[in-house]
Amino acid sequence: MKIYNTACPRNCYSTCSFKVGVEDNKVLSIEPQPLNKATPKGVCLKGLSYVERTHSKDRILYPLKKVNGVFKQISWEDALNEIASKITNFKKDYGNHSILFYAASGSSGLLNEVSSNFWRMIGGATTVYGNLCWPAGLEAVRLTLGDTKHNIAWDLENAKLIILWGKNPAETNIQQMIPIEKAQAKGAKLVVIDPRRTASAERADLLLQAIPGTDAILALAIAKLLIDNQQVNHSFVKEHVLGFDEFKHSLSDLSLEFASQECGIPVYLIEKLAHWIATIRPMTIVPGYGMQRFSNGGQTIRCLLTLQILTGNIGKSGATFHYADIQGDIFSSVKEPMSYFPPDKPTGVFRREISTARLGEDMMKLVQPELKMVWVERGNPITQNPDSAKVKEAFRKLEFRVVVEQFLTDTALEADIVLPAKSMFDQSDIISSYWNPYIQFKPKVMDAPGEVKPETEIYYLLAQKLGFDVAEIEKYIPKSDDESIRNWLTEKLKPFPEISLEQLEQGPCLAPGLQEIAFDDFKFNTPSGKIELYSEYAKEKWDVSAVPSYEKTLENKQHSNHKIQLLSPNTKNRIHSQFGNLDLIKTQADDPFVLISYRDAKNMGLRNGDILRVFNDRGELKIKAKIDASLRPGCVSICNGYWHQEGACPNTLSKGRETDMGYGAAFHDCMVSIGRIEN
Amino acid sequence: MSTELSVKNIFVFDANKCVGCGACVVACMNENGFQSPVRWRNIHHSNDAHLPTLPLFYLSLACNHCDDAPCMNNCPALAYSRDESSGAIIHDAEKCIGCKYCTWACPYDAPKYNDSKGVIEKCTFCNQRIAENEKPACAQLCPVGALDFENIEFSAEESLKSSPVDVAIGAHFKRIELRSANGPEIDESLFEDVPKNIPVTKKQKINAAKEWPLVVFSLLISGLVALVSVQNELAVSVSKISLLALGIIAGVLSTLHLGKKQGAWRSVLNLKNSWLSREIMAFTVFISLLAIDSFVYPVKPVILITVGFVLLLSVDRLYEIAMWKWPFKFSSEQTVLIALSAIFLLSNYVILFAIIALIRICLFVLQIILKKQGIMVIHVLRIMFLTTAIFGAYFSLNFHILLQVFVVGELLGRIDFYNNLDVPTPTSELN
Repeated sequence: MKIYNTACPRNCYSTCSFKVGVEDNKVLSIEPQPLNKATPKGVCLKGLSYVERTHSKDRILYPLKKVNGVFKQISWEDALNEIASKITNFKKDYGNHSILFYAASGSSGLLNEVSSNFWRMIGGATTVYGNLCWPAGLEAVRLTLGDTKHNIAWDLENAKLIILWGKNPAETNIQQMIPIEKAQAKGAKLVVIDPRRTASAERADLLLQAIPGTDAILALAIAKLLIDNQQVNHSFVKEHVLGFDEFKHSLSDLSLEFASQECGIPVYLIEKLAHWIATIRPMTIVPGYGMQRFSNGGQTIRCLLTLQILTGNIGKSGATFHYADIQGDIFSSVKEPMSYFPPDKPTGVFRREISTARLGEDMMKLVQPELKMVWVERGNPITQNPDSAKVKEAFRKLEFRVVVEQFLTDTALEADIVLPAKSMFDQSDIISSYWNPYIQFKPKVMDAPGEVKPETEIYYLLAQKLGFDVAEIEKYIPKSDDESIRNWLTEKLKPFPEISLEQLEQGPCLAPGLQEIAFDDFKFNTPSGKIELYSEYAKEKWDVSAVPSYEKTLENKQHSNHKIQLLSPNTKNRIHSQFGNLDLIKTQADDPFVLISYRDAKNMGLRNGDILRVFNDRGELKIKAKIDASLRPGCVSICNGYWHQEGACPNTLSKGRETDMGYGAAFHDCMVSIGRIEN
Repeated sequence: MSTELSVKNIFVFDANKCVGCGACVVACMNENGFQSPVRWRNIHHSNDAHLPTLPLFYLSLACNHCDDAPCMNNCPALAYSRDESSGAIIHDAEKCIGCKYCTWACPYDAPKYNDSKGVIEKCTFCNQRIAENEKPACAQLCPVGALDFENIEFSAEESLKSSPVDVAIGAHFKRIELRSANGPEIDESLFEDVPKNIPVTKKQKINAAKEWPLVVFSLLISGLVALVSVQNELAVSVSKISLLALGIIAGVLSTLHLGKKQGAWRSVLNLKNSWLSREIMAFTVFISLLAIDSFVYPVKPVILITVGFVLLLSVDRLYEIAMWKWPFKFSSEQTVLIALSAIFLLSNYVILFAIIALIRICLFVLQIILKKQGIMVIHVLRIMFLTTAIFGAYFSLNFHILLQVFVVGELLGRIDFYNNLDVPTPTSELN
């Protein structure tokens, strides 16, 4: 058995290093890679399930074509000929912009840029702007601190007060529980703020179960207490912060009682947390990404940041705002979140007029030209983008759909042609992380099974079918043999003499230029060079208050008939819509369920296992109910990532709507009604 | 046995670190093959209903490879052995007859019955990895270091202290206790309507419905031994052949619950340790004697009766391992007592019958009071039938009706007995 060092390329905080054992072109074992100090003990259950996933009986190994509603295996020759002729015709009849190129976060790696190179080479396409995940929060942090970075992951063990604010690392970033537990063993206090009582909250000292979408007012109430009680670190604020007075002034009318009522946390518990924040140092707030997927998401993250700033908990060990660390992204010329923004001056090559958040609606709105074709790779938009019904409708209106996939997902089922996608083991690539500070190499460890081809090869062949000559193609797309890919990656590493492919093969390398304690130079890349509590740019660009402020979520403002808040958090068993289809994972996951509080269940006479109808104006789901006696009443929770094929996709109910900043998707702003199904 | 070893291979589990992620279970399947529907390693947790006022914590368990392994001691077919180099308790599926007796014996729920194969399977300590100087897969791949594997000195006292079930069998399992056994402080006013305690519906490992062949078997042999004992005093004569037939029916019934019936002969291999082996041996001798008595030459009744009672005694002893939480390892529904009652009833010793029956009622009531378990309707009916039998015998009720009352009463009693057998499971201990 040959052992390789590799790393997991999923859209996940952890981005674990691991060792993979391969024999006879089969992945046989997965073992920990202790060289990665953030993930020294190995991967989560999903990472372990690569042993099954790589060789799954359900994996697509050949091009498929839908004939009379049924997928039939076809040859690459036929598949590429058909796609090439469609592209040629659409280009001729409607122009390049009639083709939507849609790629998401299913698999990361530098080679992903080859895809856009292809579309650029053939004259352009329509693409989307924005992002489903985290841009509201990224933008909030960028506006305030200038850069999105935090202390190295393992420094968290030095904090004395850790606030997991809407984050559940036990399920979404499991190795973060290592420094949290170490900190607790050294006497640190752990606070969790979450309407659910998650696995991360069970060992906490304090759990505040705020009403979803109201975290901003909770943070502001605490900020006001810090100010009123003279507990602000004034020397820090004076030296490094812009806009304290404006912020203080904006809070003058805020009453603790109002805040308490709004967020559903009793005054004494707000005071208790404020007291801890004021007196326990160093403190780290670890916000999750769920809160910022509300219509008020960006401002919410700005409000949370104020607590970190007012207490001077920045630039020191154990004191950081632990939102995201993109110091590892050394390769992008335009960094996130700006890379999500539509261009001010379009080049005419790519039309970026569709908001990811409103994918279905915007796809159908486009004219001149209308969309005729979609190419989807690394994504499953029919499951994962808000308002599934609209996305599906938009897909069905198209004339031609190509999906590159490993499995027959909800999106692949809508395709005319499905092309088999590579697994992480089929092609070498380089990846970074948004949580740990490493650059990692993920080598090719086996020949792709069946007739699977990596995207680089698919595009190379397709370009040939479209009549491009090899010399022209290779300006944009490398050949896919091992040596060419190695050369291409080596070229990417050239600007960074600190790291080489050979070094990366030995294990993860810290990102060049890494600041281990973020902002320990107290340099902030904002317009004023200071931490901006007051941001002129926020007001101009996003039309929000220049200081952090609380607004009710849109669906709460609308006073609709739907009174129950739908949560759609991530589960340990999936990365978004990936992994849930595997037998290994199914052994650890119940059938799809909706969590409901004891009170709400009792009020409607619902028992564990009964079917609950969850609905609003956008759709309806009927799912097995699971009573969680520790869930905040008024909330129900359906895991993100359930497929429509499982009858439980929460995006059936969500609305395509942008966040207040960053062009994120506010799909957590989602009110529903619930009803019992009478037998 | 490696009981004397001071340095042992043990699992070390830190309750502060485990978040119930399931990686250990998946790691086990990657190493040892896919397991469905039962898995060798399981993550148990407290607070099943997730009550806000109670803490929730996890416990990852497979086999603890105990020094005094009850699975191995009790296996009638000698399917278990200890791998001397790793200390692992290894189960050999080839030798297993699928009687499931080890699942009653193990307090950690380690032996898993695989219905499709008809045999037990269980954790091997990954002894193939230990031989290569590597940790078992589950311990090696816990992403937060909650489950680990060490080769250290580990005393019996430490083992007992760590055991999730209060039983001293030298489990190779060390548990690092929670720093704080409380859940987080919360706003309890949100949950005013949630009860402070919801009784957990315990999943009984053994119940009468599942084990009905055993219920019938134990009643049949009690009756058979009684009939053999009183055959000369009965008003109606019972032929030897029909007694033999009854015995054979009982025998066939008892093999019904075996997963691998063709291996039934192996069940007498562990006479040295297992009451199940002894019972099966006693049963075989008893039936053989009945056959000899019927076809070859008469066997002295005293021999038949003695062997019969040895058989019943071993039946009663074999159930002791399923009486973990019983106040005393003795029941009013022991087969010996059933047989004695039947003997006195059949031979019309009304006073002796009444005395035994009264003792049994008292025992039964005491059991109910102390165990606080079982279905009240069955309890009441059981007492009613036994009481009726006493009065019936005293007032010389029609013998057939009396017999029916007695048999129904014993059936109820035996059903109640099976339903109240308990084998601790880690989950039931945590809740």
